[in-house]
Amino acid sequence: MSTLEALVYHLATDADLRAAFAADPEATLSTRGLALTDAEREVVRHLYPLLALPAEALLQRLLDDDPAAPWRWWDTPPIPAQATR
Amino acid sequence: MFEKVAVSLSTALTAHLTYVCRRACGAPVDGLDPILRWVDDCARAQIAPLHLPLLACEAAGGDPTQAIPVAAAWHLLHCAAHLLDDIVDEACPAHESAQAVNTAVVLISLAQVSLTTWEPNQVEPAHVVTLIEAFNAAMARTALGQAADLAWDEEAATLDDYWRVARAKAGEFFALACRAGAMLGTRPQTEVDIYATFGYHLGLLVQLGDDLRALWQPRGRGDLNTAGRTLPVVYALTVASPQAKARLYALCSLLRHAPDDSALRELQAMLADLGALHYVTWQAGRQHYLAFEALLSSARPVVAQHELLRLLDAAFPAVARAQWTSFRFPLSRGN
Repeated sequence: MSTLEALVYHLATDADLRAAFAADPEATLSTRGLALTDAEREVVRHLYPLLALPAEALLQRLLDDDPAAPWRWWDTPPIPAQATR
Repeated sequence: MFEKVAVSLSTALTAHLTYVCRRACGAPVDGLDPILRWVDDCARAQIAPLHLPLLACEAAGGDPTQAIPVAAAWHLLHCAAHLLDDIVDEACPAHESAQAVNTAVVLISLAQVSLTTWEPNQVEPAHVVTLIEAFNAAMARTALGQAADLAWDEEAATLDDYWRVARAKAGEFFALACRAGAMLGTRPQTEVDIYATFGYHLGLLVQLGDDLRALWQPRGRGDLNTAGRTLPVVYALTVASPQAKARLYALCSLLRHAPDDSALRELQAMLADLGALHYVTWQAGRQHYLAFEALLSSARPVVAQHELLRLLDAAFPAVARAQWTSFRFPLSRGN
């Protein structure tokens, strides 16, 4: 398991780590000796409050689509019978 | 802005698809009309991805109306892929598979015809050939990704395997939409590549959202059949204890063969406990960031670019720019 996957696993399972991460993500990462790529650092920088949520609250945020968003990605009308029969 | 043109895009696509069918088949063909109505319905339901070629074309400096044949071709391929996916995922009864394959072949052929509808004074024939080559190369890579998906071995699969398949399928397919659109706006390969890279990461972001919904808001049997191939499950299998792993395999197998709510709820709880939601969030944030950075590397701050970024945000709202914090690391980058 890479360090990144290990950190994510511990964030999900360790409430104390989540609290420390929410308070000071940089210190938490340094303590664990994580060397992040620039892209990973930017993700932490932008999204650390989300990553510091417990799983249930995080799920709520993940599934909570922006109702104002005009773009629809997921809808596919049922395939007509003529296409398959 | 583009909400307002969504209706006119649908109308333009419908008119173009009718023209393509007449050009390919002559008079109306029995059995084709309902399929085309479905393709049309899909276009109205999936208006977001359909804007990609047009926005990429405009952002790269072109006239978006020139990209209608590209948007139509890409949409026809998207519909064909949807049909083929349903067969592979066993969402379509076996006795209907042969007809579904045939319908997919019709749609793929119509996509090729769509790419031959420009007048020579709109797009020169040599460039049309280059566009068709881009479509066929991307389709070949997507099909090879599907082959790897078909050969998926749940008990041996790794995160690398997951990303290999996701890149070949979702990444390449969305990269094609943006690459082909940009090719109608600009010629330098480095500029076209910017939009292709944006589309590639956007495609992976869409795939992550799809995986999440397949497990937490499944739309039918196809989603449950493929639970073991989603990122949350593949990730969970890499961090789970041997006992938890065995239970994950058993639950995925149960969902494939005799789906029930309690098995799904147990799987969802295990995935959450093992950090799968945090991992998906991290990876979605990463793909969003890479797509964002790719687009910013283009030196064309035009309205269409802003619309592409809005589209990126809407693909996975939880990691959109509106959610970003202003936190700054005290240490220099790379430490």
